[in-house]
Amino acid sequence: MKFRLYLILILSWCLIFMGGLFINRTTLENPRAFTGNGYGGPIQMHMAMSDTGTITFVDVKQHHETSSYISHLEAFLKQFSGRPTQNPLILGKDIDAISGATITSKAITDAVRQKRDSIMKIKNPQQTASFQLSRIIIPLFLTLTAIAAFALRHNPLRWAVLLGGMVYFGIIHHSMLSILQITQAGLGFSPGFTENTFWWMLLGISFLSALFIGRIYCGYLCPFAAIQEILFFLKIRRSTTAPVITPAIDQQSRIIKYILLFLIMGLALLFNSSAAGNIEPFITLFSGHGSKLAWVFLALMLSLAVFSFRFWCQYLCPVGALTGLASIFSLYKIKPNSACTACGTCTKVCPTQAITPDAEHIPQIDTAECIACAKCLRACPAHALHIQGPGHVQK
Amino acid sequence: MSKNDRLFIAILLLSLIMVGMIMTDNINYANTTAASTVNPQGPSAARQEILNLKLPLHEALYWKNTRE
Amino acid sequence: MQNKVECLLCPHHCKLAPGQRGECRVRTNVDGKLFSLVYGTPCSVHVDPIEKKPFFHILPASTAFSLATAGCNLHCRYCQNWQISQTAPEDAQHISLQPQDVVRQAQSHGCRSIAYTYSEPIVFYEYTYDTCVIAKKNDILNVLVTGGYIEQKPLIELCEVADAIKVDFKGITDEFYQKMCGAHLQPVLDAIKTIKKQEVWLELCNLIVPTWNDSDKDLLNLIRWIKNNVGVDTPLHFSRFWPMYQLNDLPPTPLETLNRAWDMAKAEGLHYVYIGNVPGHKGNNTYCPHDGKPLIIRQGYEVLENHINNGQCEYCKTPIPGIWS
Repeated sequence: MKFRLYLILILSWCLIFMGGLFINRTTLENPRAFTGNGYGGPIQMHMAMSDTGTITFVDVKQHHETSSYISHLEAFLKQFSGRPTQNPLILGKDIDAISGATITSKAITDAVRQKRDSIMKIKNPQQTASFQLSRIIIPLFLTLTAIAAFALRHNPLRWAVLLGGMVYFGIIHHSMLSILQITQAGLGFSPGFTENTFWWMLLGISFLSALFIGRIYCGYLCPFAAIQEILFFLKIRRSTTAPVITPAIDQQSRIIKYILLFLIMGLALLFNSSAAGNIEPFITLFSGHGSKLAWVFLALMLSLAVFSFRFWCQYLCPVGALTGLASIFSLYKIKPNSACTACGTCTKVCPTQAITPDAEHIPQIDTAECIACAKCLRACPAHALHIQGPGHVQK
Repeated sequence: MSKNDRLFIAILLLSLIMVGMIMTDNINYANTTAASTVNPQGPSAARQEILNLKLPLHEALYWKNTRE
Repeated sequence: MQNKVECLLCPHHCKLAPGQRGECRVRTNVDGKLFSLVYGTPCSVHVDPIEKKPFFHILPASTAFSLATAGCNLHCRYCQNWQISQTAPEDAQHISLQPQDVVRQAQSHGCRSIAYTYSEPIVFYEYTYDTCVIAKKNDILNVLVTGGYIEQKPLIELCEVADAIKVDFKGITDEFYQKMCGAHLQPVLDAIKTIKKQEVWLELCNLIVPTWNDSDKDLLNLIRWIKNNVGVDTPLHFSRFWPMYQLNDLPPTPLETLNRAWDMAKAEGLHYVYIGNVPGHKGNNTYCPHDGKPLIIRQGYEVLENHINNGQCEYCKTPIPGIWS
């Protein structure tokens, strides 16, 4: 993909990102309406109360959580009916969570308690969210290790980070970078840092590192990427990740993920909802919630990962598309220096076909497709490929 | 186009169709999202729709401005 | 100098600063204009037998498509529907049902009337009125159940589209209305007379509350006022108090009190006196004022027998007032 095309994509995306606002004068704010910070975006709720402060019911009017939660949601909300003011309304204490949906459950419970208290003007000493330092330190640690692994071209270290990220972000916290965060930001929603530290950390890490040194998140931290790579390498040992399809078709197909990115952004703004972006199979996998169709799609992606290295990432992932666009501007890029002999090894070896030889057979690395796995750096027989900053001169 | 090319394109198309279906599902769902409302008088025979979070303002009859 | 409005719908005449709501909780001042907060948003919708309202002289054994929004301009301490009447619209679960959809729903359920009931149709006046207009065009009767605490002008306009109104004639002293309901007696008396004058079918209901309005004196005065002001043909229902809302330490109305009231009303010459829902009591049935024969026999809300033909007693052809078809 050419640089000018990328630029056009970036500018278009930025335009879409600036959404519109509507002001409707024929309604009045409902004094019983309030919002919680769900996993997929704001949860708009409504609470009814008796004069004595007993909650009559809690309704959820709109949310962006996975649709398969809804049957559990009703039972969960019923817990709030009839609760008098003395009840603390704390998840884990007097309110049970929806299994597998702790973030959503906590978001709702905290919001209900805060609204109840503000209506009754009770000063509640219970703190809603405690600041968790680990949620800053561990992601940062993983990221720095990733960058180190890239700079040192250390494959075992890369795998360590991949597995660490899979466990930490995927299995333990069900929190990974998702297109929903992008659509939410575009719709004007952002949660508090304390309430949803991962939301900020993931966005910050992925985009800052992309602007600094390339798609570090994609190559080292994404839990779904880790699973796909494990699946691919557990198959019959093979020497190459090169595709068996015509390179031209392969390259052209990569634009699909950009189309998806734009489609999701556009639909989000059109419907004022992040719902259209809820296509990512990793949410289904790591949260355990999903419609039948979502599970089938997940199964398809995982099966394809066995045969085609990171099929989802290369052709479909909208987040990868966006971080790819950001990495165009990265400060440090992989570039060949004058030692390059144009042997073509790196081109063959790159697992995402990000390297194309130019007219003089010198390899050009497409940073948007590069996942910073450093395979090319290790494979080059002339040690001609290096991560170079802006000061370095090519050739 | 080789056999593999055709297979690849077919799989891509299949994926895109599934993605499209999931998106449509999600959007439809988001447009009708809400918990059900329960009629305090008992099961309602009327069709139930969900209200948004605003209170509708409808111009009232029988009033006047006063100055105080 | 504030942008205040004075609501003229009911005798409370609430003067509201911007953002304030009336006594009824459903009308509010926004930037110097008065708005209703419940138009098209009922919190109770149900299909009921019309006898439940109670209307005993309208289309017996038919069903009424009944609805109500939150709010009420009275605050009766015994209110049986307090969960919706003594609540703000944001504290009640409601659905969206515009006037034309109300009529459509009523038709699809085979209801021959729409009942504006449960809480207080006066406070959702605009919604009531607009729905009545459409219902009229579609040959559906409009029946209202109200406390009658309304100003004359809006009442007269409403009478043009209403077919029947049942007024809760709660007591006969101003003291009762003040202490029990937070309102006054006279506007209710005026409303009852106006309804009759506008030739809207009128039925009255009196809830007898032990120690409050169950004395012989009170009952007699009430009955006599009815006789003298709206006539002996006006049906009067006595209903039973159940401990509710803010009057939880009183006993339910004893049957003897209900019997006593019924006897007194018949003795004074009222033709149609009812005590609903007391099994086996004569007060369930409609009797011909001329020959005393039972014309409509009811059990609870169910009509067992109906001997009224063409609005007349089947036996002696005396016209029986009401809307029979």
